[in-house]
Amino acid sequence: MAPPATRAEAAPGADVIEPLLAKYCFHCHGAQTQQGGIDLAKSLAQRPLVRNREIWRRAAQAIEIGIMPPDGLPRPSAAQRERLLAALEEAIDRFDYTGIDNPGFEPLRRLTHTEYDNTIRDLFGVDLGLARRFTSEMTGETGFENSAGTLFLQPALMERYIAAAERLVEEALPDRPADAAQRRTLRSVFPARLREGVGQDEAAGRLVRNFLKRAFRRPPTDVEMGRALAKYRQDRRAGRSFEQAVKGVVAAALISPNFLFHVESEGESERPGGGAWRIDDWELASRLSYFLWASMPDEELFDLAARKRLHEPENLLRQLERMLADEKADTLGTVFAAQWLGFGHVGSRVRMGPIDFPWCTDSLMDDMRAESAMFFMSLLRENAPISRLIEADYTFVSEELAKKLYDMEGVEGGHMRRVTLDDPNRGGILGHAGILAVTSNYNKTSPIKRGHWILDSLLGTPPPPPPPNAGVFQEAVGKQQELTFREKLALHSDNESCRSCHAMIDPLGFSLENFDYFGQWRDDYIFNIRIKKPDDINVDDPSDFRKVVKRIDASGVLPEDAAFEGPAGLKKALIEHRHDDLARQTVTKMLAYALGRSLEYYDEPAVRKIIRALEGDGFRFQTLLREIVFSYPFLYKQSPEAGAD
Amino acid sequence: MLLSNRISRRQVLRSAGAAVGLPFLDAMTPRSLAQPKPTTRLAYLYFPNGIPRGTWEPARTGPGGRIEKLNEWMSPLEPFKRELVIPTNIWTPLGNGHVSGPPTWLTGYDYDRHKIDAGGVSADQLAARHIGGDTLLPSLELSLKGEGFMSKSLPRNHISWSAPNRPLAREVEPRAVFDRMFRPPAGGASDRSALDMVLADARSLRGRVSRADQARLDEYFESIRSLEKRIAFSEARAKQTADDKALTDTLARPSAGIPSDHNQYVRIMMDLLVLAFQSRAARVATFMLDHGQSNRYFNFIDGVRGTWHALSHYKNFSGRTEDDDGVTSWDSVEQKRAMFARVQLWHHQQVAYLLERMQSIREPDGGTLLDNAMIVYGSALGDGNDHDKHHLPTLLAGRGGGTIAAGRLIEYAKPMNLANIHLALLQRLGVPVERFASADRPAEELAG
Repeated sequence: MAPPATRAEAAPGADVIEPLLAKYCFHCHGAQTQQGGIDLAKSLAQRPLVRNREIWRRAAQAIEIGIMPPDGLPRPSAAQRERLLAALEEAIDRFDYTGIDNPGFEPLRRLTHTEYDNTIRDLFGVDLGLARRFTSEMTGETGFENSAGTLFLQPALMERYIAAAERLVEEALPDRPADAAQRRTLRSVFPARLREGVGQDEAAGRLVRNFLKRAFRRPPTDVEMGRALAKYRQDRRAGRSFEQAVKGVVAAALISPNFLFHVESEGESERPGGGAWRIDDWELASRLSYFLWASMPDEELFDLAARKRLHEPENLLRQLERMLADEKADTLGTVFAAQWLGFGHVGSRVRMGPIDFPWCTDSLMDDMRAESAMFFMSLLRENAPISRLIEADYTFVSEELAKKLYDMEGVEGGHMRRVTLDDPNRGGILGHAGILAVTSNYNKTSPIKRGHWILDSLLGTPPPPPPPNAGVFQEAVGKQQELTFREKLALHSDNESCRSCHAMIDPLGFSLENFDYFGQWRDDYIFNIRIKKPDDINVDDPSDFRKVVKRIDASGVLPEDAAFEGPAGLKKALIEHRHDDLARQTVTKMLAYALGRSLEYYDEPAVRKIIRALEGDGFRFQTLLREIVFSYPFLYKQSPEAGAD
Repeated sequence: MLLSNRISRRQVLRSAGAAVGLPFLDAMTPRSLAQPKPTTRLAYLYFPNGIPRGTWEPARTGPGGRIEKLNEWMSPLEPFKRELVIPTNIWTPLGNGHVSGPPTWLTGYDYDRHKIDAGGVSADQLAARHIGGDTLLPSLELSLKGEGFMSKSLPRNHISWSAPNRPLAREVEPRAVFDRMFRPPAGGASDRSALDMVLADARSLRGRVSRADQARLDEYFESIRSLEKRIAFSEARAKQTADDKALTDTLARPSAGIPSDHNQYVRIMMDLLVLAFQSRAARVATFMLDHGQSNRYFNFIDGVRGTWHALSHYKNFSGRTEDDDGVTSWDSVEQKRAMFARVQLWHHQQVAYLLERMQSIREPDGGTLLDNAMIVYGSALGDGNDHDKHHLPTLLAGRGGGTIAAGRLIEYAKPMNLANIHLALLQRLGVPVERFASADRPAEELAG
């Protein structure tokens, strides 16, 4: 909210906010009714108001644009509205964070299905894809599957965990290995060095300790060891062999909460009277590895943790560099970026019917996802500035992707490789087929979806949701069938409350209209207007259609009045005018993913600190990674405030 | 492979139902063996996208609202008109629609799209909490696997909530449902010594983590407890079934995967629901006939084209709105509306199949399974085109063990909160509740 000068003079604070909200808002958003789940009276009682930043931001936006209070209900006068907005701005945007000292609390959460599969892979050296049969994962408020709020553990999932543990022991650890892979897997549980020169029971103790350390991502306690060995002895007494009894402990460990959850112990504050504590080195090893690899720590991390030296800045930095270079870090592209930017949906949510669209093969869609993931990893590994996410002179393609969607010559073979682009429109994430496809409707573009995606996902400045009674376009008949979407929208934007938002959203999307619904370049719209009833139409017979060709108008304008032309113009305009939003959004998203929780108001100082470091360093991606790993909420933790939510 | 044995498998499941009969039923649980009295079952069948206005009310009624003839769009349910209660003017005052509709349909609260909070516990889970202890599974959550957009959206996919922020996972694969009811865990990770070890692990962990995390660990304890129960039931059941040759020969396990034929898919899930109720593996169930904004194609129905959600906006027939797929278009509002209603009629056929199965099963008390059931079938949208939050299509089937006077249209003069019906049904199950969510009173009209 950029304030006009008059607002600053208005008296800020609750004495302004409360009576106005009580008069105009509480009727629908108060203690009695909570339309849309919004209770402003409750939010107002929670201080400081920044605790509910998101609610207030949305409320201010709705009031500013005029969609709230809705038509037909009493509305505040212009002066009252200004006073209210000014007071909210004072309380939210100009809140003084200097007194805030809270690293937040990462709640206990289970492994995501991706983390589960990767962890099993690294524990046993075999990729069984067991999570395919798990109950489906939902995405939560952070937009990431690793968000603590949505990682439920219901009985139905517990049953799947048990079946997976049983299958794993059966298939990966057979009594008689049939091939090299099974021998390797067996060695991961029964390394020969631990069995040399000792009797079976002592060997069992060593094997179990070794396995539990890796499965629990920390050394087992004496009590845990005692329990595991009691089970071992019980199985032996029941007549099981040495190997079977050890495997019984392995199977049980795989359904232990110590394996299934990210466990962090309650720590002790260094300060008198309690407060934040530094997480221990084992916990830090896990945070690092699940952030950078979406998997368990390796031996080197375990070793540093055992020596309590991982948190030392030089070690932490060296590990960050080492881990980023490891191919396991590709999950930052295939998981983090894919879920942030949405291209992970290509091939699942977004796909074309194979009969009508035979060109849309699984391999093409795999390559579309790989393009964006590899591009994102190149930004991290080459320490690119954040702006390169939008503007780059290279991308990654296979022959199929190059030929089918990018009209690119000379690329041969199915593998993905880096190519230099001379087309200023294509480079950067806004020219990637995967992004253009997930922001389209089934087989036509949606300028609204694309504009909304830029504002919401890419820049973190979502427009308000459509008012409850937002209409849809009325039936297009006759000549209207030949109108472009832009022309139709212009015809129907006679409603002020619609126009104010769509003026923000649509021009961004219109400038990408030269990319069709799967990202292929086009200069014209081609309308095939059917001239018979649907049932009489032969879709393969052109004479059943009348063809209308219209040149695409790809001009756009930002709310700041910056006009531009086409994708290349959009990219320049975004970098020139919206770079701050892009940087903040990148920081916010990556920090939320690293912590596995949504960010709260008390994380704001950490976010600002990271942004300041980026400003001093040309907004480099490795600076971002380093600052996150060294940030207060990543290294420290504090129990949730008493009485908070 | 699913299609090749289409008929045989359904027949097997059917005959399984018939063959299971009394001996199996009585063998189910130690408790039901001791008290073989009829027990009421509760199921909620949710469908998305609303209906075309005017296709729900009966064509003709007699004195006291007695249903004499259903309208043409409801005709598949005509044979069951004496088993139905059709209340009109139903609404959910706080939440409805494609997104907030599913999570609030059974909780009776509002759903804020920006955080996971359904306001309260859903009616089915309240029931499961009170009567689910007597059954193998406290409740059964079924759904059809979503297709296309929004199939991973959390609110659109969940009607059952065990806590305001905890939706229950739905089972979408027929084999998985069957296995949960009839296949005991296979040893190894689920044997007693393994469970003892991990439960002790969890208890020590509870002492080490922050208080805020202890509540989350309770989810783990709950899961293990429900597993232990399942094992205990399974052992008793395995012993009984082993002695029952006829039963072991007929209980067939469905193929793995999702049937590609949608008709087949729905009916197998309906069969499993009946099997769960009949065998008392569960007394409470929910079944989502699709997620809250289903974009499924129903082109397999004669004369229907387009996705369900697109069809629900029947006043736009150009095929060129944001809701359309870009391929399908229609000739007129009337034509598209009729197609939308055809999709609804097809779902009524599936429900009729369920009711027919339930009516064919005799209970120990001499009545039918349907007599002892309360099936709520409805949507969280009224007229789909208008996103109408009033006049939610709602229908009750079954007599609730003689507590519901069926065969009637109940016309409410003022909008009637759906939560009032939930409350009335919970009380009929013996759940000791006086209040439920936004309900102001139980809908006592159900008693006649």
